[in-house]
Amino acid sequence: MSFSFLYSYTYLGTGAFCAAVAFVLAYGLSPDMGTRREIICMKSLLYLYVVFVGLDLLCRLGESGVVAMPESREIALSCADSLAAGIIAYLWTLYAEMRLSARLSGATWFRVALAAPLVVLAVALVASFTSRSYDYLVERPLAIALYIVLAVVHALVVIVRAKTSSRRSEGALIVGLGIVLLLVAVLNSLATYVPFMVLGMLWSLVMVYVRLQRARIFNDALTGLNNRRRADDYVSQQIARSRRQEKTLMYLMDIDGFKRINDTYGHLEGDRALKVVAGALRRAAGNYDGFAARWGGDEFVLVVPESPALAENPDEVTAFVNSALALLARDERLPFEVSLTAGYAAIEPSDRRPRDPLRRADAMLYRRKRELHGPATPRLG
Amino acid sequence: MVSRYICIYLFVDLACAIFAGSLLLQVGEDFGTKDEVDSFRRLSIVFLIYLVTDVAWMVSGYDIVSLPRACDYVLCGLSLFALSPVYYCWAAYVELRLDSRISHSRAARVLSRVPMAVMLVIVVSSLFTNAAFFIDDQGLYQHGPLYWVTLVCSVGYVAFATAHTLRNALAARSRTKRDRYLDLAVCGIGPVIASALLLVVGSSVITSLGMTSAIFLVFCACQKDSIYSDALTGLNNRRRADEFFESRLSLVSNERPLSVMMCDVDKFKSINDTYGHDVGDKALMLVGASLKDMGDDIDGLIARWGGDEFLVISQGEGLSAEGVESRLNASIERACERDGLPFSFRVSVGGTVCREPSMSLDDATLAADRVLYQHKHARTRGGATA
Repeated sequence: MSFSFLYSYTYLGTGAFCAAVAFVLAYGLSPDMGTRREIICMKSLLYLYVVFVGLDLLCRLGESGVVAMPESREIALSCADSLAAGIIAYLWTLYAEMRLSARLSGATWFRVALAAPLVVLAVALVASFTSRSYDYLVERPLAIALYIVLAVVHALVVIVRAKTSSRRSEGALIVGLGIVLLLVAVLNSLATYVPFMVLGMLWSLVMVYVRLQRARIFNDALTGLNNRRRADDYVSQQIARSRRQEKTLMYLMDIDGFKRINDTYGHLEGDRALKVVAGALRRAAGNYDGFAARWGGDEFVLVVPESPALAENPDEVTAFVNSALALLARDERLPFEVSLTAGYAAIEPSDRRPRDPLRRADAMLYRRKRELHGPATPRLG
Repeated sequence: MVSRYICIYLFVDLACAIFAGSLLLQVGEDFGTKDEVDSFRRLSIVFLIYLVTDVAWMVSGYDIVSLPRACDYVLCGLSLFALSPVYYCWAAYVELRLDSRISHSRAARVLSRVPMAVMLVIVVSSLFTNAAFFIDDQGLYQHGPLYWVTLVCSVGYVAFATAHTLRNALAARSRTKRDRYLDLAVCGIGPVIASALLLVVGSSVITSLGMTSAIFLVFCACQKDSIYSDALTGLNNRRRADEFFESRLSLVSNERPLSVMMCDVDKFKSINDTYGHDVGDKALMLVGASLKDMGDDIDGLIARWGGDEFLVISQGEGLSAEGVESRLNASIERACERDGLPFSFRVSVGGTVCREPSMSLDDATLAADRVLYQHKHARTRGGATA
């Protein structure tokens, strides 16, 4: 068995593996993994990646002499391969921008400006193809590097300015993947016969996909907030932290008269109310550097670090949420009023499970509901 | 060309290690049952060890690092043997997912390690007897007469696991179970292809790629399960119920109706208030378990809709709400006695039938809910059901 055969056999196997994984990812993309634009971008990215894998394979087989082809065809394939890589880098950066800043990536001028390096690359490739030379192909790693650096820089800015840990980790992921992509792009230009880019791209696509899937596990489908599973994890972490003397407050909030809202206005309006409440909680989480989750039904949980101001007046948080809620309800033109009643409890080192502080917060919540509405309050267990 | 081959081999092995390692780091306790998590972690770690031995052999065998001949022999033998535990762990994981007798029986587990042991003996003895492999005078690696035995001892595990999965898929009674088994079989395609190529072409990095693809597919499948399962009861969650209903809705007609039943726990709020949330959760888990027992007989889906509400979607009108209710209550009463709960409780079931594709799951659950309410009301009044 000649080494020529073994080499091509290995490269072919790698290509088949990468294409198969890319198809699995594309097939597994579901609408609740992001906005419609994001999903379309990711899908195009994956399919274009498969095309790139094929072109890359052909280029390598031609270059190593395993498949005999005239030089003009080799150059044509190289150009096509480089163009594919360039478009992939563009789509990758566009996707990163969509995740980092919806506003920026939505602007038409931005999308057009972002395509500029790609256009330059395309022109260089056409020049290369028509002149039958490799001279202009140096553009390829430059264009790719430019895109990736752009995304990484923006992600670093986001990390620095981020108010929540989820934003920070999103930025960190893009930085990490960007560094890996730059690395494989450099390695590939040094040793073109090793599938650095193909495997490096695949790895970053897999990491993004896994991250998107994890979000679905830990996010509530309706409101997009953290769900109960994630809340349990988070509160457990906080219980462990409380032993190191970082004080945390846990609020349990539920919507006043939610059952009545559902019965009177219907389930769809009830769902809208839940989404508005989620928005108010997100604002509170951002403002108090905390964590918001939907605990279930119409119950929500907010976990915030206990600042001296909050130690004195914990209900400040409840007031903040309710006023944010009133604003959002007005913006959304809800046909009814929504308000929350909250109970809270400090997370103690003696707590063993999330249920422990929750029970204390629940007891306070129940007391307050009775005070406000009288003994016959419809509460969802 | 030799150097190109070595470079690509080493890099692909490295890439596989990074893939498998990244996924291993992402596995949390919510990945599956504790046994499944342990089994998957074991598989990943053994695979990483295999990759290290593979790289080590490549480096020494091709003299990238010059080592004494004895080292070459040892590393060669190590990389040859290391595949068997990988495929053993894969088969062990598959058996666990199949919930088969083998995974439960201690004797079967011990017996299943015999091929690995045989391979170890042959490989170690090859250092002296050249039985499975040897390195000839020109420094080239050659197969010995017993090489085929070592192949059987590794590839055999893959063949067994695949055959068992497919057999279970064919024998499955419900569509959902069959789909689960087929999904598991698809996860194993990588090792199957890699093993076939191993028999034909010989040792290569395709084996690493095949195993990596299996680890990746299994990881995705388990993530998906987490997405669609309710954390407390392990049943399908609302998200899954929505998607399932949507998918079956297109086939709905008068002749093939879809029945939707809503089931809730009577006086759940007072259970929570009297005995606390812990006991309330336990009651919900009991309902979930009782529903799961019924699951095999339902051509459809069972889900936790939220709070104390459960949903049963089934094809056709064979199932009646009264039938489901009495079965569930009997099962719950038995379970309450068995588990020593301080009380017993009942569930009520109300159902509706969808005959046209224009109905949404929200409409269906609302209708079922209304029937449920009437049913409870009529029962407390002591009158006949509506």
